[in-house]
Formats: sequence, structure tokens, C-alpha cells
Amino acid sequence: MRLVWAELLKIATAYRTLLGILLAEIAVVTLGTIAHVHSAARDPVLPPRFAPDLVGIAATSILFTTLLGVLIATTEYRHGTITLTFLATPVRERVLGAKAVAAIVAGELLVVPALVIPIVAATIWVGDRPDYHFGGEEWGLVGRLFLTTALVSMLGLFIGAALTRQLGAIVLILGWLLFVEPAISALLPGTTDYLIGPALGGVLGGDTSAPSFGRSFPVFAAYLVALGALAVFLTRRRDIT
Amino acid sequence: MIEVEHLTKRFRNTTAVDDLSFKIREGAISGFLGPNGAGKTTTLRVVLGLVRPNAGRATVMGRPYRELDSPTRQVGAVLEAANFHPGRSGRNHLRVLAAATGASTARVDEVLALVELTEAADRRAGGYSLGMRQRLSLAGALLGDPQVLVLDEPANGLDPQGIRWLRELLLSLAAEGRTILISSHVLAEIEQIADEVVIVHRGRFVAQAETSELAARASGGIRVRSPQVDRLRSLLAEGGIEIGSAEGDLLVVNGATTAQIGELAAANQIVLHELAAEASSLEEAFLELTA
Repeated sequence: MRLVWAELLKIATAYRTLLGILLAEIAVVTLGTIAHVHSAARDPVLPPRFAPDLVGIAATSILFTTLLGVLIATTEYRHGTITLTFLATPVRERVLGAKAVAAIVAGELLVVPALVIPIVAATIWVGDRPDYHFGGEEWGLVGRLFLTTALVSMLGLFIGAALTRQLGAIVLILGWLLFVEPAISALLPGTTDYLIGPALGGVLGGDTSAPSFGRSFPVFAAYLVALGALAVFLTRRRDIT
Repeated sequence: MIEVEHLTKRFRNTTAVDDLSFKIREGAISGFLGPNGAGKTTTLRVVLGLVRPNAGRATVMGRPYRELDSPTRQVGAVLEAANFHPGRSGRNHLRVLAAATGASTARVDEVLALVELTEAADRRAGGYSLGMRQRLSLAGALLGDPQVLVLDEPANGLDPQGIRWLRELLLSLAAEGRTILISSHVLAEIEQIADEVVIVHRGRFVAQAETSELAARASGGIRVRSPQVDRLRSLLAEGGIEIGSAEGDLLVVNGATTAQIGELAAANQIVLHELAAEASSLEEAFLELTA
């Protein structure tokens, strides 16, 4: 618990990074919300997936959560504070564990404004319309968004801890999800359900073309376990020079 | 207290530390000297569990650093003056360390006062001068009130007043019975504070001796003045100790320590009027040994 508190304190006392990510997230979600709600509000009937898509807009926050996870791991290497961290806690896997919990907490906090913005906007603009309903399905998606946030926070952290370089980790994640996996999927269609991107979509839900939760969650969990093991292995062996 | 045994560390094709062994005694200030690239920093990082050796081991209080129960309460370290997040204030930097080590907020204020950084504590560390960063590093090392201090070039960036302040601080910490291992290239500083020195060169052990003895060894002499100089001279010769020069009642003796000569004189009831290592600098010894 002490180590988790220390990690949260690191985030809070170097708050500019978190603030920057938060502002970027708010900007993206706000733009998405305006586009989605404003156009729907002009139509006499709301689109059938209007309410679930509000959660979909909030789900763009997972990009920022992943980035936060990467930064929580790599900032220490960038500024050399990892030396002091490992002096205080020489059992390095304990540091990784504390960082993972801190990344999840910070990531979940980041989801809150991403959810509040579209839901409040929809309530204000179309809340009094009879065809607007934010109910069980949507709250289920909200729950899955919180779960996905926890998972991608750890994903970012493990990749950051394995690579230690901020830019390298971010480029790897974006490159993998945007270019490598689509290429693999196109060349070997049978593998699609076992790739990170589709598995992420399946855990998140709301996309009818994504694999089911029951199929996606074990795949994503397997990736996390493998990346976590790699991060622990490399972190333990790494010389801090 | 700190023991390094047959330590070897290679980085790819470069051997930074090569079968190095030495032992640092408890309650003393020990200087750790060597030219740039001698392997001092690598050795200290192995001692602190930050670098894995290829062979050998290093222990603090009889155990590898990683196995200490409460490492920062037992060992404090200053390794670099740049280990700060530039956007975090000095106080918050210490608060984070305190949270990780279980030290109290009151202790944060104490160490800030100890290193005379209270006024600047709420400023961002990124705006600190190198000297202020060194002070903050030292504050971090002292946070757990450790018995052992490992300091890598702690005088870097300090102005003459700062160096004097550091010297007095280290002497007062040593007076409390703490063990201090300090690497530095400012040999004059080490000479003023260290009880003993360990010299390494190209990753290998070169010498370990009391600071005064090492300096005397380099200059080639212990000055001995006695009214019974002839008798002393023959006793020294019998003991295989070389006489460097003789003039009147003064001998300059090589290859012996003041303790050896004093004990020899006492055992034979020889009166001594002077017994001292010839004034010479550690720098001379260092240059001679690492040439």
C-alpha cells in the first residue's frame, strides 16, 4: 500500500503530464460528442445506437489511458528517478506491481470526464425526447469501459516498463495496432480474433463486428500476462547505469 | 560493513570492474579513488544492487543490498545530481521518497533543514543549480537516517563554501558512528576527511591504506627523529626496513608505517622526538599508483 501511495504521489506531484493528457482527452471527447449529439438532435428520430455510441465516444479515453500507462513506466527512466525508486525498493517486481495499481487508479479517474461529457451533453440536448434512453445496455458498456481501462493501463505500463523509452513504446503500440495487426488480419484472416486490437474491441463491447466478450477477455488477459512477465523479466535484469 | 569480493562487471566488450575485492570498515570515512573510467561508479552501483555483476558479489552489513530488510533506512546513497523530475519541487521529491521508504513528513522537513534547502524546497527541482541538486540528493540519502552512506562524487557542482559545508556535514555524520564510502576526483577533499582510501585503476584493485600512510608511502618516508638514532637505525635495518636518508638525528624511513616504527622504538626503549608521515599529498600517491 505504501508503494502504491508513493506511485500515486509521483503522478500527483508531477501533474503537468496528467493534466496534458486530461486536456487532450477532454478535447477529443468534446469534439466527438458535439459531432454525435448535435447531428442526432437535428433528426426527428434518434439513431438506433445513439445511446450506446455515447459510451463509444467515451471509450476514446482508452487511447489516453494507454499513453498514461506508458508514461508512468517510462518517465522514471527518462528523468533518472528510477535509480532512487529501485534504491528504495530493490525488489523491482514490487515497484512494477505498485505502478500497475497506480496506473489503473489514474486511468479510471481519466475515464470519468470522458463519460460525463457525452452523457451530460446528451441529457441536456435530447434528454427530454421519448426515444432517448440510457439504460441497462449502456450501463453494461460503462462497466466494460472501466474494465477495459484497467486492462489497457496495465498494457501501456508493461510495454513502457519493457522498453523504457517513451517514444519507442508509443510508436510500437500505435504501429502495432494501426499497421501490423491489420496487415496480419488481412493476410491471415483466421487469426483476427487472437490479435490485441480485436480482443480489445470485444472486451469493450458496443461493436457488433467485434468478437464476443467471452472470447476476447481470455485473449487480452493472455497478452497481459505475457507482457507482464516480459516486463518483470527485463526490469529485474536491467542494469541501472 | 561494505564488502566487495572478486567483483567483475562487463558491459559488452568492456570490462568495467575486474576481479575487484576490498572491505570498508565500520564507522570510518573511506575514500574510493580512481581515474575516470576506473570502475568506481559501476562498483558503487553493484554495491547498491542497481547493476548485476558478471562474477563476484558485494554486500552491505553482510547481505546483498537487495536482501536488506529496509534498505534506505540502512544505506543512503547519492549517485547523480540529476535524478529528479524537473517539474517536481524539492519537497515533493522528498515526499515521494519518504512515502516509498515509510519516512515521515516531519523527517522531510528535518533533512531539508539539514542540507539548508528549506527556503528553496517548494521550487521546482528543474530550476535548481547543480549545488542545490547535490544538497537535495544528500537530503534524500539521509531521509532514512541510515547507518551507511555511499556517495558518488558528492562535491560535484558545489562552490568552495558548499564543499566546506559538505566536509563539515560528512565529518559530523561520521562522528555519529556512520560508515561513509565516498568516491571523488577531488583528492584534496578526500585527504581532508577520509580515514582510509581504496584506489582502483582500470577496474582493478590498486591499493587500500590509511590516507596518511598512503601519502607517506608515495613520498617515500616517515620522518623519525631520535637522540638514539644510530641504535634505531640498526634495529630498523635488522627488521629489513629501508632507510631512505639520514641527517643528524633525523631518519627518513621507507616501507614502514608510523605504527611499526613507534612500536619498535617503544619495545627497545628508544626515545623519539618526532614520528610523522612526511607531508605529501594524496594526489602524489594517487598519481604514482595509477600511473
